[in-house]
Amino acid sequence: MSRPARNDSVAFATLEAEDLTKRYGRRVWALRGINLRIEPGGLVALVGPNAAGKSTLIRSWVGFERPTSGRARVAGFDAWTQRGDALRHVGYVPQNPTLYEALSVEAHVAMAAKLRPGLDRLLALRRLGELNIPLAALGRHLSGGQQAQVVLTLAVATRAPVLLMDEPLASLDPLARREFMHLVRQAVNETGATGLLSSHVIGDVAEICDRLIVLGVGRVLLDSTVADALGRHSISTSPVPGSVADFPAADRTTLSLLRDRAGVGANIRPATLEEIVLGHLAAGRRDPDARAINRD
Amino acid sequence: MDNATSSWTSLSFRLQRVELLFLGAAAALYLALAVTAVWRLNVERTANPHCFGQRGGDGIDCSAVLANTIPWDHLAEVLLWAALGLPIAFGLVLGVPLVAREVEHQTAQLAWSLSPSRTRWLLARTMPIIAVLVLTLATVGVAAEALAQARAAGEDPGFVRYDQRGVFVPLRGLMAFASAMLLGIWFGRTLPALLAALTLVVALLIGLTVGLDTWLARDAVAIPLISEPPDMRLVGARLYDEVSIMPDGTVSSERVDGSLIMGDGAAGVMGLPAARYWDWTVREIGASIVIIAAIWLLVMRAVRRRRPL
Repeated sequence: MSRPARNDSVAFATLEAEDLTKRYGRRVWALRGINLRIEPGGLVALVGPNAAGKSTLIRSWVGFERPTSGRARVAGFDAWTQRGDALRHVGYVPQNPTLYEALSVEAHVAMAAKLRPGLDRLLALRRLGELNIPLAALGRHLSGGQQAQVVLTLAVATRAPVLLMDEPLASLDPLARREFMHLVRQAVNETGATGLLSSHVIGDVAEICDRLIVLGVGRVLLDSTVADALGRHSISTSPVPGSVADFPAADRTTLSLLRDRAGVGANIRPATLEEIVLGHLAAGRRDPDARAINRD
Repeated sequence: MDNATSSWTSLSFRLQRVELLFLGAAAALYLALAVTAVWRLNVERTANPHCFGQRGGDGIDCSAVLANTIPWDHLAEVLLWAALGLPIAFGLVLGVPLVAREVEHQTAQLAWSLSPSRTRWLLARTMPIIAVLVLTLATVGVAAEALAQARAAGEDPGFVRYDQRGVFVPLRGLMAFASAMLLGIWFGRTLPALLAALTLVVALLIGLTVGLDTWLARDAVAIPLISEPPDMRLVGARLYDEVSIMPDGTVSSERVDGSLIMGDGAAGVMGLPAARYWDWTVREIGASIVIIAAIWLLVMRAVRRRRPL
């Protein structure tokens, strides 16, 4: 997918995680030594099963989680100790986007403009108009999908160079998911922002993302462009020594994910993105350290 | 007021409209009862000045007048006790849900992701509520002061019901509010925070009262007890132990089986005259402001570190 055209009003910002570890209480590890660098531009999918650490990683960049060790940085600013500076570069859509029940959509825009200097109110109002969301409607009268759209609109209207979206599709129906994804892609293309979108359903995000990060048991299991991932993996319908991992297919047969496309034969075919993700997740589970994390 | 500011004020009021309604209704009821009690007490006193104060009726039968006055005096007493509880109730009811409900309802993550400064968000969110709280409790404090004045029948009420009237009412309300908000942030859940805040605020206020009273007692002086004519120095005074005042001016509080040994001394009492009330008021205002500021700093720190759900 081509790199989106940049809007002059959006600065560049890099997302970084440096040995980022987060532990809840004494035994539950959400992130274990994450090292990532996401350069500006494009839409990145952060996928992984439930409890993989996706939300914790995103919330670390929003400054909602204090790292146990390591650092999360946005545009070079530490997201915890320099939260204000880091947040100026971030627009955020949470897992359950919730509006104030007693406040109208228009009042949300006004409030957001008060909270975030430089918020583009006209852009927000225009997009809400395009989405046919009534400005006078109270938060409590909007559906979950509409609330998610309003929150995304506010995040986009911040004109932040980074849009962090934490499983915003979870509560949406299939049509609303499709519309939301379209909006996200459009927003990233129009503003030139970097979008990071997490989901535990690879099918939701595979079509529109440029880069894929697979997170499992608190570790990065795969970090690749979508094109590279598709180009470098294949599937064998029979077990192959040295494969990335074996995992069950929908028809209860066992598939092997191969890291390259060498040796393509009768039982070997190109891997789909979902199979690549499943294979790497299975490999993550096989990892002894990963098992220790699971046990915790 | 620009649109955004008015939207914050509107948001703050709408989010706590039930609590604000409770506060408004309770304050209005209090005010109505206080005005009635003060009016009735003043009417009786003005019409029958000889039956009040230290003059004791001057031989005129005041029983009918006093019978008319007693119900209003009792009402004033109840209202003065209510002025002790209202700041705690208002502070808790408004303070606990202010942040806790935002965390519970997951609106905090929207606001906190938009605002580069949570402190700024907190100030915008709390100031309208604090303004209403202070205004309402100041009204209650003034009403309670008027009740105390009416009951004192023209004398200086001094230390009588000293912590249930005047500036202490809004100050204690602010202390309760800040403590409640702090626990609301820590817990992130309204109900447990409410219970914990109630315990904390009551303990804090008892501690403050006992602490200041101990400090105040150090300044107490020996006041000889004079039966005829009535000793005006005791009106509105803060009284402590009975003592024996020796001819050389020294004071003895030695007791045998609980009874004061008088010896050659005259009966007296350790106390602070009503005139010292304003000294003490300044002390308590200062102590309260220091405590409120300290709690507020903890609130700021807690909200910066709070993890939204």
